[in-house]
Amino acid sequence: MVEVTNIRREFALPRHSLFAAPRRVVAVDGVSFSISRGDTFGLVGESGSGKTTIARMLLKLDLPSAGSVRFEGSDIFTQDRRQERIYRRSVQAVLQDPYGALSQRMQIGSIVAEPLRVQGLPRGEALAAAGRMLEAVGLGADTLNRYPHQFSGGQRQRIAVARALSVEPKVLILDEPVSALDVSVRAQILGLLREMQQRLGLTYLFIGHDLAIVKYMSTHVGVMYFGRIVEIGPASALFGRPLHPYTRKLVATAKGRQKLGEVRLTGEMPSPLAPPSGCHFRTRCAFAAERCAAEAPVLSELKRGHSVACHFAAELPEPA
Amino acid sequence: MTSREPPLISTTGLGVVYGKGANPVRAVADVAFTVLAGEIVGIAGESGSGKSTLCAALIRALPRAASLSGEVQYGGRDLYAVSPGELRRLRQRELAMVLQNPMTSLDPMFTIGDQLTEVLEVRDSGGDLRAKGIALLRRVHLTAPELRWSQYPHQLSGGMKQRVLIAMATASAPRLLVADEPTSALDATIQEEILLLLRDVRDAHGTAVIIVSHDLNALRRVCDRIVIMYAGRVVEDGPTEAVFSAPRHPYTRGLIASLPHLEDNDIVLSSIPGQVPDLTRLPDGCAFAPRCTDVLPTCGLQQPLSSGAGHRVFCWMAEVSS
Repeated sequence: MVEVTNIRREFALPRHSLFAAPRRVVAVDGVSFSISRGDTFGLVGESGSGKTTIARMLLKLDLPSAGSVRFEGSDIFTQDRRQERIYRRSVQAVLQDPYGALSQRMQIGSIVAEPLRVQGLPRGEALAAAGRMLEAVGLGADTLNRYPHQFSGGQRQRIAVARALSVEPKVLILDEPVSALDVSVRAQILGLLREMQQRLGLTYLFIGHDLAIVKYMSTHVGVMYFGRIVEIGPASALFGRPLHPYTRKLVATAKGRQKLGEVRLTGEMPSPLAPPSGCHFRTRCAFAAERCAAEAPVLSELKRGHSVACHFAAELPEPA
Repeated sequence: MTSREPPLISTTGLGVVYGKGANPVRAVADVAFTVLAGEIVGIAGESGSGKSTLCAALIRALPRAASLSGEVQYGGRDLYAVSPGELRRLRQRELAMVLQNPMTSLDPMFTIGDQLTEVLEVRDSGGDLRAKGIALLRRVHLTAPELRWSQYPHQLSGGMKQRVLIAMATASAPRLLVADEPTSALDATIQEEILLLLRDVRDAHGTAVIIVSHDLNALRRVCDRIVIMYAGRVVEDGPTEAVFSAPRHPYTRGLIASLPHLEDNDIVLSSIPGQVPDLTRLPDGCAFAPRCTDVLPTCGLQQPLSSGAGHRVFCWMAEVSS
């Protein structure tokens, strides 16, 4: 359904002076993954690891410096206007902040109907469809004439889901959709997303930092560190037996059984201006050796469908 | 913890109401709690539970629209009776805070370096302020601290800004540090470092730390004591391990049950049924009663009283069963 091949995104930084060499930051560095129809691909990694940059490229809000993204077999960056229109309708997003995502001055009905209006539907029909969509996400029909400030965070996120689904998309990009919500409300929104996926056969890209939630939502997961995918595989295998030293740290921290300070990621975060040679993680890795500085490890399949980018993944001791 | 030691900060019958007229919002009601010097206390609850308002009240930082009742004692004095000059001195030297929104807490017109220098100057540390500032930024694990020094807030991510704010708050050795959701914008591995940093500040200077968070897992890892709030009131207050291993209030039990566990093969997400109550129309009795599975006739009529000494709970059912 979605096939991302070797995408790269560099950003140019402002120069110190007119004559200084241009400085570049690589936000996404040779990332590949694919999502099958009806599946959810989870992306985890620290802030600045490139997750959102990938989401922006899939939404065509940003162009990759190299590499390709194919949707149902055809490249999304070489579309003509008609194809682009269809693509933009097929791929919708639900973002983190339910307060910033909805215009304060518009009624809920207009907010949910807006994508349909953009697609050329007459106002009356669009509003009727918006009403049906709001009911599908568990909000009453009386919601139509109210304003965003009259709703709680969880309800706003339901409205954002209704708006995304109004144009009958095939893919939803979910960038931290529940991070801003209370624990007891999260379960409701995630349940809604799973229900909608099953009912409508949707394909999801789910970006999150809470590993348990990513595991709950995803069929496959990719772990990003500094713009690269360091480990990718089925969700249960990846979180059950993480292979990369970085994933192991993340999983150990998320389990939270150890005392504070027992599973630390020592060493400084590398500077994006001067990333370490070879493996980006080596500066913080307990198992780093000479080879890690000389040569960047490539993703290779260690177990069925479960790949890791680490020279020593096969030799590392079993995690405690 | 010896009970002989006078508390650093304590409240009696603290209440905060926003707005006037027919439907004021009763954000905090009848809160009595204490924090000892060097203690790390976590305040947990969902949005609207009054935890941020309580914190603002503790450091006399409430907005004008709020009206306060009850008392806040800091170091044996009524905090709301000290003169503006004295309050200013306290804020410069003794009371530090890290607020919830890292996006708006920094001035967009000045570089990170300018803003850190200002803090360091007030705390009259002298010497090479730039070197000290950069050391502070490094201590909170900010990447490329030299580069950040000359950058503006908009050039930093939310997590980076939060770390800058923590660096500013811990620049001197405050006696009380109030951190409102200090780690919720941060990644798990950095969150761990920030929690360690808060604990280090306590260990090094005996600073009392109050951490407000909805993230129970984070609080569990660093706090000596946990206070659970619901609809503006404290519902449970006890030593961290006791609260997690033997929660006494049904709301606390619901919150703990709604935490997903990564180690489970099939992750279960449970939620607490019902809705957070409207703070303008609170019931006479226990505010949690409409969502509670174990309700007595008294629950709907009268506020539950505190029971238990070291581990307090405000629940009629707990009263009956003990």
